[in-house]
Amino acid sequence: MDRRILAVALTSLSLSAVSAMAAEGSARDAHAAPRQVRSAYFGDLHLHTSLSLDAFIYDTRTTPEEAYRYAQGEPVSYFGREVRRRAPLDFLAVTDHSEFLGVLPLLTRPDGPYADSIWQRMASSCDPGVLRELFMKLNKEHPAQFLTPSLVRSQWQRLIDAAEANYHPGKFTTFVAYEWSSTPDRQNLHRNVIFRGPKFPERPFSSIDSEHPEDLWSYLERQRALGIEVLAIPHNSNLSNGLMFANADSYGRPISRAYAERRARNEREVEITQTKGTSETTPEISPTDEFADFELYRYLLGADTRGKIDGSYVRQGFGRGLEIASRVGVNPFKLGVVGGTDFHSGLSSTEEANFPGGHGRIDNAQHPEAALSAKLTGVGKPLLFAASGLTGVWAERNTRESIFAALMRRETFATSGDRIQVRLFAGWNLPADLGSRSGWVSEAYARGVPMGGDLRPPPVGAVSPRFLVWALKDPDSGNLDRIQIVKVWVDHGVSHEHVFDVTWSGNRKPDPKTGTVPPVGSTVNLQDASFTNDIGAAQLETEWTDPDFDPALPAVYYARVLAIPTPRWSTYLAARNHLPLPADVPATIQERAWTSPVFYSPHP
Amino acid sequence: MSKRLIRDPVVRFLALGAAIFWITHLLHHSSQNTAQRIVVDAAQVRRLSQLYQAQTGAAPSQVEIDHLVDDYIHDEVLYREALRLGLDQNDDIVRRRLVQKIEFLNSDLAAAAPPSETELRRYYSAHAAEFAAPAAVTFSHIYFAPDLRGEVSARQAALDALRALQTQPNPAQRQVGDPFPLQRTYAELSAGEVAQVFGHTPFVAALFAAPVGQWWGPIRSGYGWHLVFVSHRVEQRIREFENIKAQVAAAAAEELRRRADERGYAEMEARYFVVREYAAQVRR
Repeated sequence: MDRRILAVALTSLSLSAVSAMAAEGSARDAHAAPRQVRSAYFGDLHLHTSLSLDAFIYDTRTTPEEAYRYAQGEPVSYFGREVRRRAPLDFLAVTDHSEFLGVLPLLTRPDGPYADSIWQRMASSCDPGVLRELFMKLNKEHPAQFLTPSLVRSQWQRLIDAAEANYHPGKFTTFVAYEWSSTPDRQNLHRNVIFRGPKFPERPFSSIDSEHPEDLWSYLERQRALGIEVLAIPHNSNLSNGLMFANADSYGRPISRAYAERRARNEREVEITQTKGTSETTPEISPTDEFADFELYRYLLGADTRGKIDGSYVRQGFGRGLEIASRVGVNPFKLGVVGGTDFHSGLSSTEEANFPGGHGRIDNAQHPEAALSAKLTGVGKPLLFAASGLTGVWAERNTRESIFAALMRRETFATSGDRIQVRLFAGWNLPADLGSRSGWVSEAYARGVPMGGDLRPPPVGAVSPRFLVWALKDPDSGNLDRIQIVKVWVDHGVSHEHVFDVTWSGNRKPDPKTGTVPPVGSTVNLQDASFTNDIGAAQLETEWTDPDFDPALPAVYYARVLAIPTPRWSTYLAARNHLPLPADVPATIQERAWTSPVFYSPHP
Repeated sequence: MSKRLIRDPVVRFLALGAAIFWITHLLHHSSQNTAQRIVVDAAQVRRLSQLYQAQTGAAPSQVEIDHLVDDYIHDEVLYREALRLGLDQNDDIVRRRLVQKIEFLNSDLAAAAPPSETELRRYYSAHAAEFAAPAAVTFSHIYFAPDLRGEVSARQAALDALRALQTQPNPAQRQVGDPFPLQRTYAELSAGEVAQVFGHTPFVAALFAAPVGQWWGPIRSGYGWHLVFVSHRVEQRIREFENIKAQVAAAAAEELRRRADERGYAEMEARYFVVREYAAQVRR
């Protein structure tokens, strides 16, 4: 009797990812819904291999092919040790720096075209000082011999070939991509450039071509005119010294409507978390947000000087985008969120308990003293690097087309490395009991908008928008503590923020004055770096209405999911090597997920 | 007179001495000459030209060739002087460079011969299990949520439900248990795929050990307690050589390369006797 029911239900199953159909959902329900039910897929859109100049200088020798193998759960050799991801990823984009892409591996070949040259001698040096000198020399002098069209094209083709060879539609998706690494005066303006395929450009546009994002957009627009779909994803706004979400363009002119339109067209996502820090917010920007101090990296690239906070964090960027929109009519920062690792190891390794290090010899876990050091290296302070993050997408299938479409409509979320799933819907007439109905996901799509979408002005009679938010823990990690909704809005041209605790585990009572829910507690044993799931919840879900809604004021709403405290990678590393716990970072972290916002505008 | 002179032992001795002196002088002189010779032949010029072309994209003119040769001679003089002074000794950069060179040389040698069909078949027979299609399971499950019931009660509820299912095998199953946010049924998942959905938990092994065609449990996943109904399970299946030839070839070539690397190193290592003096110091 079960056979036939099974056969119907099984037709839509995705094997490589968790299908997130609602409890009783079958293939038939899914197809009957106005939009196909989408599943969560997890991946990384930001990773470097030995083809990146800096990664090679850190002694990383991992190839793009090995990077794709590791992401699929296969073992790869890293500094002579076999390493392996426990939970494979569903997709990966290798994003090597376009500047001198693949040049160093070529330089060091004794039988290559640079045999016996001064370049080869420098590149083969084991003296970090000489390697640093080589790095500076290339970046300062831009030697024409390493920028010839044939050399650039051949190395770019290597990236394309590796992505094509490892693309298994339905099982594992790769993207042809690269990183545009504009860093004027150590201020990070980097963008990852992701191509949908199947057509790709002849060569990347690098920061040697131009350091201005506006020129990168011109390149992207030219590609689109040729039928090549592409988008740029900025990252490390935290290292931008205030430039990423400045009120001005890269020439210092106030943001115009034309600029806002171009930026919104070319950049629909921003990377909110990665190894060199989480860029959501800081305690200075959000003094009442008790979870704002999370994996912050406050120094400029490879420097000991702190960057400007103002203009450097995404939450503030959301508010500033609304402010600028109220002046010029278009929101330049209408961004969804993604997470990436930015590791320079070729290994997308976000598992805290299984972290081999992310920057070659600089933070190699085989040398725990170095990895646990807070001293400044060429790239930064190893101890402060996070084992973060991942991108979650809500997509119909695990294919380039489906995932790229999710990026374009911003139906994405970021996590600090755990595979936490989170859904967010907003609407004017979501039923109060929607979350407990079977097949609620299809209904939520039909009656509301998902993360990344636009909430239209209220229909007659509606007072305040309703939100449905749901989260499921990573089955390999800690339970969930709470879900919050972060609201950012603009009143008289000035932005404000508020964080609401909307649902939480256990029987905790919110503070009657502030509404803040007390901490979930901790089960972590620091001696052996272990924890239990005796606190927290596997799943959280609630419906929420904004108590302070004013239909005249533009606003964005996004959800933040917090897990219970678990050991940070540095705690696992210290415990395993019987070393003291490092003092400069917390021993435990609350892994988390951030959704893309829902955007409310009073104007239709 | 001359004959007598020749027979004179003193003269003979002197002549012999002069001859020896002259020969050694000649020998010495000629060896010094070789040491100081720097020969730039056509092959060397060709090499320099090719290097120039690879780096600049254009062939060198005659004037540029002369410069290249002059530079080469200049460097060669310094290089030989450096060798004469032993500057290549105890230098980490030189050491690393030579190590790189011999590693490249070894792996090039190892990569030379692709495995033959016979070798491939032999490799396949020895590693058939590694190429096998993994065991897979098709199952339904009923979820008991610790979030709603608490850990102990969720497990107890699962046990109670199991007893009910066993005594009354055809109930309305959907009334039992708690809503599960993902799927209630899964088809042909490998152990790795089950772990991806339910966590690297006891759930995985239990699912592959559970009896087929009956409700079983409770077993713990990363989310809570479950009863499972395995409707179908296929064991690991050996795949035919013909169907996976390319895969076998890639793995065999990799294996051959690795073995050759190891063998090459072992041969070289055998020429050395390693003395670990630090150990004694540490013990003291």
